[in-house]
Amino acid sequence: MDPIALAWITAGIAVPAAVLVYVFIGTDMKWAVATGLTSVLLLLTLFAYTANIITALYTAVSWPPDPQIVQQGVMYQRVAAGQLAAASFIVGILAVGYYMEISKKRGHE
Amino acid sequence: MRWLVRLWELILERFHLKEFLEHPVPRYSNINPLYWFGDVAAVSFFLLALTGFFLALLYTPGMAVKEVPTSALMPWDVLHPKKTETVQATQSYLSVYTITYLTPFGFILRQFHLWAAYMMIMAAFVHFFAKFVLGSYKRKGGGALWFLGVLLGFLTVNQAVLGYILPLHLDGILALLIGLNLFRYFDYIGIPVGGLIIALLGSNYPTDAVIKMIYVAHILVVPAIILILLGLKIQGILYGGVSPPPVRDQELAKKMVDDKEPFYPHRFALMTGQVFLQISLLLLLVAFFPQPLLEPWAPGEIVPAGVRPPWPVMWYYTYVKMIDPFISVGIPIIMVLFALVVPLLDRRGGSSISERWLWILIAIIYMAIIGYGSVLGFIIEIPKQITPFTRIAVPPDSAVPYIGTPSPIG
Amino acid sequence: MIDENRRNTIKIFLGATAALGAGMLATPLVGSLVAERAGYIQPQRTGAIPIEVCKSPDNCPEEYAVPLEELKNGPVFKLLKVNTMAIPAVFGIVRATDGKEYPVAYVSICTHFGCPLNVSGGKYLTGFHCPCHGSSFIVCNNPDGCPDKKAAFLEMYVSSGPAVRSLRAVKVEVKNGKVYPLVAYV
Ligand code: HEM
Ligand code: FES
Repeated sequence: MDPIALAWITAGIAVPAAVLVYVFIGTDMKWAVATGLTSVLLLLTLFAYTANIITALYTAVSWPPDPQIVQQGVMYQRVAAGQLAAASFIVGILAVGYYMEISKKRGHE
Repeated sequence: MRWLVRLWELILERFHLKEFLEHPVPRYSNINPLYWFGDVAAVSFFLLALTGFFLALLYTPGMAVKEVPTSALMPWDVLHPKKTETVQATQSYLSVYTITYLTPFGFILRQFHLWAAYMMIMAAFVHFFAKFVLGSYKRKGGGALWFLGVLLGFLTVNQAVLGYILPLHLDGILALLIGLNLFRYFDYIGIPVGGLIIALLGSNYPTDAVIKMIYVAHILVVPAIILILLGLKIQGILYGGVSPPPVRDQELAKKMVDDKEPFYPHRFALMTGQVFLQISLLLLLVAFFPQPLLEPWAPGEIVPAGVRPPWPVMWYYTYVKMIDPFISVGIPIIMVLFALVVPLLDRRGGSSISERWLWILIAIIYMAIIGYGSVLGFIIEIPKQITPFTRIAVPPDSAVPYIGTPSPIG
Repeated sequence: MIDENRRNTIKIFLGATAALGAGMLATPLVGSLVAERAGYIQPQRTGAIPIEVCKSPDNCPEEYAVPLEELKNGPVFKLLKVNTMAIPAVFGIVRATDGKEYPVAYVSICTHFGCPLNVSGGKYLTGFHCPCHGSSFIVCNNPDGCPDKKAAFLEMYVSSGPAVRSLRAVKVEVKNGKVYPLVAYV
């Protein structure tokens, strides 16, 4: 698949997922974890798909390298980095959300 | 599952980890951003060590020069389009080129290391500024932590310069040449620092041995020192606590300090979140703002116009261009020395902002010197010699006359 | 009191022994490095360090030599490898105001902060320009010297920019139509 298309699909999953998780953190932690986990799994599947393309692409490089392939490789790797960033972001806000949850509970006691 | 829990409990007990995990930590430092950036710098360091380990496995240093077809260079890496069929590149350059462009995931690896380095420097600067404003060196034990912090900041910038040299792109080689020759200004005043550096490295122009030294310093020597100092610093903070909250009201300050929560799971969850968010931010930077590899260069080639240093040293570049070298060489040394003695000068008064506006002003001036230079360096082409003290006359016995008796040919 | 003294004495002895032991361990470590290097280098009062490249043109390696024929087409860059040193030398011919031609060589490291220099001039070597902070160097080509520039004949003096001292030169000698480097001031 084209790297640009992959990037849009990634954004299409990551942005709503991050917003949902953020909203759920404020209301119900259980739902936040559920959405978070699902979206991370989805993103990792996408990443696995991208990683497959990347490894396949790089079996074709030789010396001197074809600039076309190098540029493509860079594009796919940027998309892969974006996918990992999204997954990492969701885990991150879940952890911070969990912290806010437990410190709030203690504050009310 | 049950035996996993048992194992975990056993580990906690046998290694006396419970005492550590359950020790109470104050909450105010979680909420105030002025307390965040030290953690950011520390986490960046560990991310750098992690990515650096893999880079070190893939990278081979060397000055040996090879011909490369110009088509292999990416357009974003060269300053001006090359007119020749082939260009010359060093072994180090080709090695980083291979990591970046010809290795699966190598691009992410290198970019992550680079952005983490930038983040570590940025965080260290902000952290320094925050502690300056807070006057954190005033509490008991604060002076020692400040001292460690200044050393760590110096080592971090050092480490970034050493790393920047490693790919031996044009900019890296210029940095290396400056590093090898800059300290020779000390020789003029009778302190043979430059001579010593040349003696240690064997040359004041890049050779294989010099590059190898830089490599070992970057991946082993300096990180080891940073690790030891960082360990000391974390130990000092664990047992001495962070600096008190910046409020004048003693009552309120005491209340804030006493408002505590256990390290585990509270602070632990927050730190996990920080690590993941930081990784996420770094990967986003990699995805959206990848940095160029920059162009290759080999001895004897023409240096194209328009090379600028990377942002962490841009401020220094600005001042170097406008000020006499006998003064500009000393600027960073004076900045570091001043930072070291700040706790000795600023001793009176409390630590609230209204009580120490003078020192906050000094802190702001300090940062403004760096900020002003950085901004100037980016936005204008500095005209030569714009300060009144641009030139100090060379003492007569320091001028190098032409040696030997000139004799014409033919 | 006596006990206290004895304990301190023992401590001092222990410390001294440990220091000696550490020194012994360090000797091979440091020694292995030092043998590899140029050894301690004493800069002159000028900050320059004289490095002998060849004693005389007779026993100078041919790879250091630059034929005059080649120089007549323009300056030539040579990376002279002497012991552990790499010396970037630019050979050239300077045309003096009296019309005579002089073979010269300079170390192409900027005396400001140490950047590599770009050569200026065409067939004849007239000067250098530094890409880093914009220092320019121009050769004094008047056989009587250039008093207004405080420069001696063939001195590569600073004409503009932040650098404060002239370029370091390489002493050369011509033999059999070839220019040989003898001493390089790095
Ligand atoms: C304080 C921590 C560190 C900082 C600030 C830092 C900074 C840098 C920088 C700025 C570069 C240049 C990247 C480029 O332009 O290509 C670099 C390269 C490199 N670093 Fe580090 N680094 C750090 C720690 C480490 C560690 C701990 C290791 C190894 C164990 C390491 C291994 C490498 C290697 C092998 C390179 C060359 C490859 C390349 O340039 O991409 N670094 N580093
Ligand atoms: S290094 Fe040449 S002008 Fe600064």
